[in-house]
Amino acid sequence: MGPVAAQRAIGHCESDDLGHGPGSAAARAVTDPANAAALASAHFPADVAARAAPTASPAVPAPAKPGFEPRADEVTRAVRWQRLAPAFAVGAAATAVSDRVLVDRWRFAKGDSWATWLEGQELPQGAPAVSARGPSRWWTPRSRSASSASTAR
Amino acid sequence: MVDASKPVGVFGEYRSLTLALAGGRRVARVLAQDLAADRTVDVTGRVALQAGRVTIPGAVIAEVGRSAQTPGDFSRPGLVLRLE
Repeated sequence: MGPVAAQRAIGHCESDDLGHGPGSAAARAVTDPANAAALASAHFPADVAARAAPTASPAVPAPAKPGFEPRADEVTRAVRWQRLAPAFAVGAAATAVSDRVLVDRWRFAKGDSWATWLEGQELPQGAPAVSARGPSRWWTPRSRSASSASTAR
Repeated sequence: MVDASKPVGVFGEYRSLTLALAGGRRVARVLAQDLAADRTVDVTGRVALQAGRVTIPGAVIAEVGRSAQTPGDFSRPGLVLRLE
């Protein structure tokens, strides 16, 4: 992926590492199969609603240790997104990747991982600030605007 | 460029997100749903609509995309958009 092309494609899509928190404390409905009916009556067309319908999932486990941040909801969201946008092969559709890299770091302590050889080491991990799979085609902005996000196929 | 006839998935945190629509299509209504939720929210009044373009503030993505967040869960936002 050429970084220049990617930059053009998502030049206006600014994704900063803004920090995070637990968010709103709305009651979680995704684990309740009874909510499938409610979802089916939502504004989305029936086929979309049905594919996004919740399924039962285990309760969120407690953090393994202090400092760890449980992130089970994003797994639920990713699984449900796959019902709307089934997986497709690398190269089967356009992909836009930002050339801006966000880096996170973690110092491994005993018990953090099965990768015991990392204990005592601090490892950086970088990833593109923004990526998009499946845009209908490249778009070169005349100003600082562009498309991003994933489009269901 | 996005095909407005299909759902769009948005994941993560943004300052703003501008979708360029194929064919310069004009959108009249924008619906959003936390992928972990069971209800849709009409966010039309909270986004900027132009011919061929929809701009969604990051605050809207953060709010809707975490509306069903489990207390204590640190997941980033994730939502599906429907452009009509």
